[in-house]
Amino acid sequence: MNLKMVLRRNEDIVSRDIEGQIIIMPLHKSSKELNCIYTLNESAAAAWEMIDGKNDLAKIKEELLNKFDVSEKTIERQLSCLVKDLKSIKAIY
Amino acid sequence: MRETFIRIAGITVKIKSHQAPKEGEGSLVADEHFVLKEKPRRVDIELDLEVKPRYYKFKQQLFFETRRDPAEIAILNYKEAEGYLGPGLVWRIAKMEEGILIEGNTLVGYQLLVNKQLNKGKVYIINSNNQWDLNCIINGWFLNILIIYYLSKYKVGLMVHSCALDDNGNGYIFAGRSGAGKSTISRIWGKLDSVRVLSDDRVVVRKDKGAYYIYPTPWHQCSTEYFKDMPGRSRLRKLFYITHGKTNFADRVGALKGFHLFYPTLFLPFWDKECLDFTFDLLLEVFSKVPTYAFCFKNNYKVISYIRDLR
Repeated sequence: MNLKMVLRRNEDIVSRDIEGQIIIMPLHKSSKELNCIYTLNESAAAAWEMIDGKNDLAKIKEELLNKFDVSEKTIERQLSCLVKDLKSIKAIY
Repeated sequence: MRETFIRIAGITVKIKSHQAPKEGEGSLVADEHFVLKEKPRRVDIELDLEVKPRYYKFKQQLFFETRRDPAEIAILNYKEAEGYLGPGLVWRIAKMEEGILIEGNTLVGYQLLVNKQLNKGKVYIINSNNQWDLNCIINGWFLNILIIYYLSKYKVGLMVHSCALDDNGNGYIFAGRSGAGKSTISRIWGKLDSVRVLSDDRVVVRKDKGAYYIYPTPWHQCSTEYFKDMPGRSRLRKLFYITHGKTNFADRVGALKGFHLFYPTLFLPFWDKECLDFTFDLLLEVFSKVPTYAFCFKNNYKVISYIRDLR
């Protein structure tokens, strides 16, 4: 994972913070994609909040390390998975 | 010139046509409740109707479409429309230079070309017999899709896959997936004199002066056995997400669980972010004001007192 990467959210994504959980839903083009909403866990939600077209992944990783009691390796792995997942649903680019 | 006025969830639609509708056929249960007998003072949507034998081929940019499974296509015969619409298309919505296009092939073929404000347009009914009737309008999907879009565009309401009833001024919504028991609930409650079943399949929720109201729609499964009269709106007092069970049990849920339960039951404008934003906001607002339950119910009359006694 390239930690210098700066990502931004797709503007065609609807997201809501409901009772502390972030729910995201991309716009759909076909009924085959329906019922695709995604709930982010606490650390993913914290990362999502920081994806703004300004923060690079290194800064997001650093913030997550400060916020959650997990190892650097774990955070890096989780962040990498999250970026991959969010890219696959075109939530970020 | 023939003018027909239809009012659904407080939205008045005028259909204007040179051709008079074919009468005496095609009216499904309760359709006539939504057709106005007198010319209304206000019209929200004006549509000119024309019958033609074939689809026009419009240049378009697809927003959203829904198609039948290949297995279903093999059983049913949709050949007539396939050439232009493609295999198994139920309906699609697209952007055009001059507005929005909604077209499809359900019950009848249709093409609705409406302006960006969704309040003026032209509808083509595809019929080689050069005929149309109210059934084409109400049960051809375009009006349903237009109302869903209009409700969110003008930030006035949302549509839910649910049955709903009015019990002495208390409005209840019972949402759920197909087969969850919406018709069963309608049948049980519909036998009471004090109860009006508003719909057994689709209802609209609108906000008015700080309160939420349920409106019936003409899109329902059936049935003459529980529709009694012209169903007006009812103040929403409780919301239920239903499933069949061995006993009656309602679990009050918060916004997060409510959202996950009700999301699949919403008819959403999936193609328009602003409209989706509004719909979600309204839904969450409703959850914050109206008691919402995950409700497992047993098919008997005890469900009535159980619901009424819920505090």
